[in-house]
Amino acid sequence: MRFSQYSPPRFGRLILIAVLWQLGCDRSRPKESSQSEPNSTTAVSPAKSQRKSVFAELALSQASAKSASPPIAITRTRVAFEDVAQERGVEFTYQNGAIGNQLMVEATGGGCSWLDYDRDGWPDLYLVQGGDPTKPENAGQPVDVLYRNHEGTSFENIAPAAGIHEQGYGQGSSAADFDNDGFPDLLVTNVGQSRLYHNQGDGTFCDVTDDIALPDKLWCSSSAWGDVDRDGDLDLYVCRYCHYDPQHPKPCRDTAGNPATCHPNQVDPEPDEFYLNLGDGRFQGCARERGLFGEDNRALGVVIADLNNDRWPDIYVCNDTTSNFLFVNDGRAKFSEEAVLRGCAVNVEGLPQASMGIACGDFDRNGWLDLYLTHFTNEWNTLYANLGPQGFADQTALVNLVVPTLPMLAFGTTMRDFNADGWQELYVANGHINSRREEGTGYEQPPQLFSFNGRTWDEIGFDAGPFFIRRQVGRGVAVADMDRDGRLDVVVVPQNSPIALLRNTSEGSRALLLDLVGRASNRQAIGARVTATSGSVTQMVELVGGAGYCSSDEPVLSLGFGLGVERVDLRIDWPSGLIQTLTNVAVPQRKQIIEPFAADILPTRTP
Amino acid sequence: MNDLISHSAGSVPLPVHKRTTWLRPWRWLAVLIATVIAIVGMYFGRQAFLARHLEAECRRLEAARDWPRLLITAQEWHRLQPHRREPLKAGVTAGKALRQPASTAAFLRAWPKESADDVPWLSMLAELQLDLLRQPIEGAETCREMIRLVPQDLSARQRLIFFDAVTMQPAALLKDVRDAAQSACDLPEFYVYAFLVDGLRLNNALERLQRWTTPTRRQELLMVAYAMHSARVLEGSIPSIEEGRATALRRSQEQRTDYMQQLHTMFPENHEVLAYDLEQAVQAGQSLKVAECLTRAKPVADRDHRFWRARGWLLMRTGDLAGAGAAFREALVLHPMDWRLLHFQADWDRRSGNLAKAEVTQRLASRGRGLESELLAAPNVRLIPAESLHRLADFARDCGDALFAERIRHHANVAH
Repeated sequence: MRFSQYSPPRFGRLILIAVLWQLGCDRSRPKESSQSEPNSTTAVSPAKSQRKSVFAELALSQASAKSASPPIAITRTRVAFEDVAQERGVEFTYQNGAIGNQLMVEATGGGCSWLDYDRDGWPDLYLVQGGDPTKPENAGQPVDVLYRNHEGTSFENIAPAAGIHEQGYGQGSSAADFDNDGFPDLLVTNVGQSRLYHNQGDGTFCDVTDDIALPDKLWCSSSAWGDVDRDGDLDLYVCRYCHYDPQHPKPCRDTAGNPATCHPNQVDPEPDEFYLNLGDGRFQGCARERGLFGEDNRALGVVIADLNNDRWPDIYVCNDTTSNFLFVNDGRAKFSEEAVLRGCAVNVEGLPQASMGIACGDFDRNGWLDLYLTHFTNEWNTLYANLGPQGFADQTALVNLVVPTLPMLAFGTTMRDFNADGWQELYVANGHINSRREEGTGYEQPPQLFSFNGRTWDEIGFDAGPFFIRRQVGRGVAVADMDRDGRLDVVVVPQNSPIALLRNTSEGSRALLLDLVGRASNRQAIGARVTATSGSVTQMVELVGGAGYCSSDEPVLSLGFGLGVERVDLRIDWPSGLIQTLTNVAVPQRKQIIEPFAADILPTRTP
Repeated sequence: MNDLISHSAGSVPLPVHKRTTWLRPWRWLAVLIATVIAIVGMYFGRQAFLARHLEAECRRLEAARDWPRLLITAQEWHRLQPHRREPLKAGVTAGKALRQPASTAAFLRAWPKESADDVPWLSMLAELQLDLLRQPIEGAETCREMIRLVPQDLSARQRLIFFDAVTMQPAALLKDVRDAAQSACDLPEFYVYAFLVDGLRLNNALERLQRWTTPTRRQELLMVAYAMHSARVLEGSIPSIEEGRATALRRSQEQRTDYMQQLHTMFPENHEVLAYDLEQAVQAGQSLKVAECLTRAKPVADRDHRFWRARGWLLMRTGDLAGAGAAFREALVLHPMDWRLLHFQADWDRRSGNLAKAEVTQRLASRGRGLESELLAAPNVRLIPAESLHRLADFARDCGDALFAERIRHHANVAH
């Protein structure tokens, strides 16, 4: 249109050009973005754009100074496992009973426990079974199994002989000697009636569920034993997931109208329960009275450990899709929920995640227990580093753990020093809750293994044996030295495929394994903490209650020191408060340490 | 007499000569001036005559509804009298009648921007620019002119803030919303936009951006905003049922990566693209990349809370707690309701040994996150329930933003 030929804007431009010409405007200057165009709402004048942002003042070297600190020199030894389940006679498959209805309960089950039920010195293995979740448990459901370990060479299912005929739709189990008789007992969590089996010491168990008054018809997932009042007997925390009746399931569908696993927020949450051991064979449910209660939780994982170094056991609970809980013990077995306060409720983005399993260990050797949580696909598993008095910080990204776990849906996990080099490894069991046929993978996903190098975590599964390329629907994971070779082995329970009994074949040194026997403390010494010093290196391990996912480990502490270390000094903080020191303890070895009576040693009790 | 003659004989030419030289220049000058005056007079007379003629012609043509000729005549009239509004008015009338938005806008663009009376015409221009003409950047500038002339012009503010939101300019959006609040000329949705500025998903943004982006005008601002919105909408459309959620997420991420790669190629220096990189780097814990992004920042980043937030994060990682605290304070000044920042602030509180304060800050951050989900779930930003507005007001109050809190509360009460 001719009109525009003399429109003011063009005039303005001409004037602007003339002015710029006069000012000697440099034509070679790079073109500004549209946001610096005169018309833009965030216009920046050409003269101004020459100015640098205040952020440019931040020298790159300043940022790199700390983050690029030189890696700690480690003599790496290969971590390796081989699956010997079939060879050792363990042929068990957890059946979730899925027939395409996508029931919620089908997604979560499959736990196990290591327990030396017969006290022959060889850890035995209890495995929970699923079945058909739509049918009652007395309708010919498959049963749980208890494998007796024949000196590490073979396993034999002796559940019937041991008097265990558990037909509930199993989720998990945890073993602990709740009556301090020296024989580990067993809690089995089910969808429906969970059960507590008392080890009678004669090779048999008896059902004492009524004594503990475990609530009926509730969906329980993980459980953890710990002496929260430090009275010398073990108390129990049971995670309950949600209100869901698989025999009358709530129908949930995806956008295409196909049956789909319900999202947790489509079902009502169920508060967890805490059972205080009264010491006379009875338990008292008292979660609310003890402050062990939080809003809107659907718990799947739990660990009982001293997370603030006050020597009183705290309880950390993994919640599915809502903030996690950290119940801090006030020293009188009363708790306050402080996850938000201490920075371990939500991830670094301030978002709650679908938390499933949990690993607990002092990966950075700062003397404070850290937490590693497993999550849903596209939510990385989160590493909450315990900074000490300042609480926790999500350091997942800083230690290179975000990217590897994004595609995975993880459940069971454990943090152990599998190659005894003094730094921790992380085992993670993966497997989806929904079929990913469209991606050509189904439910199955490969497990993962990470190793800490003193600064970051490296994924090392590809070099750890053929098992790590095997896709499974992994759930429970539990650790024991099943063949007593000084190396920690792992049992992995997948859904609908045979379990894996992973014998540790790592090269290098062996660990110092400690069997602690409490006297004033609970007999299993759950809650005991050992600090080992070798030269300038100090490591700390604690015999925590729970952890993992729906499973429990052999109650043994392991410490690795790498090659060349022959003697270490130990300090043992017993749950009773007693502190025991041992010097020049030879490594590697498996050593039983019995808690001394207070009169036998210097009375250095913690306040 | 002789004396006189003799006396004068020697000096005769002088008086005569003096008289002649004195008279001649003035005469010429007078003639010149008269001529100039005459010419100028004739010119202005002609101009006035022409103007009167064109004015009369315009009236006649308007009465006769001869719009094409009115358009041309109005142009000539405007050329003749560029400071008068009447020819522009005639041109606008013709342009509108002819349904020629470009012609109409051409007259409107020339409209003087001097008083409140000009605002209705500028409003017309803004509407054309933001709609039919697909000139949103110019339209936003027109809105700014309108607000300058009449700070209480709600429709201008509404258009401007919507533009800021659609084009994803967080800093401009926050500034414009605060201006609106200070003028008490606002709508509740302004505060929703401001609160959601880091995760805003508008139902109609993509459609609007698609309309604004023409093949002939490859405007960086619009293209970047389109890519960003696409990514966010993809994320928002992920089904809540777990089935397919992961796949949708993955697809969304892949697609988002594609978008961003294209943007990096096309606009490597773009501020929003840099901000995106920065946030990704923070999320991935890549300290060096965060530092690198910050050093590439342009001065416009000085007013962007996201850059201060990232700087604080970085300094906290390097152990400079004092520097981090200062950066977080700067960010909070720019966006007091930034719950993501509050989350970092809680971490900072913890590292500073103030666990009690960390808990308060963290709970506030969690409230903000919950509120964000709640507001994003609303079908329409204009249909936010009063209860949600009350919660937003409470949140603003607890974040220390008294002005926003008061204005949101006002709207919440009205909504009730």
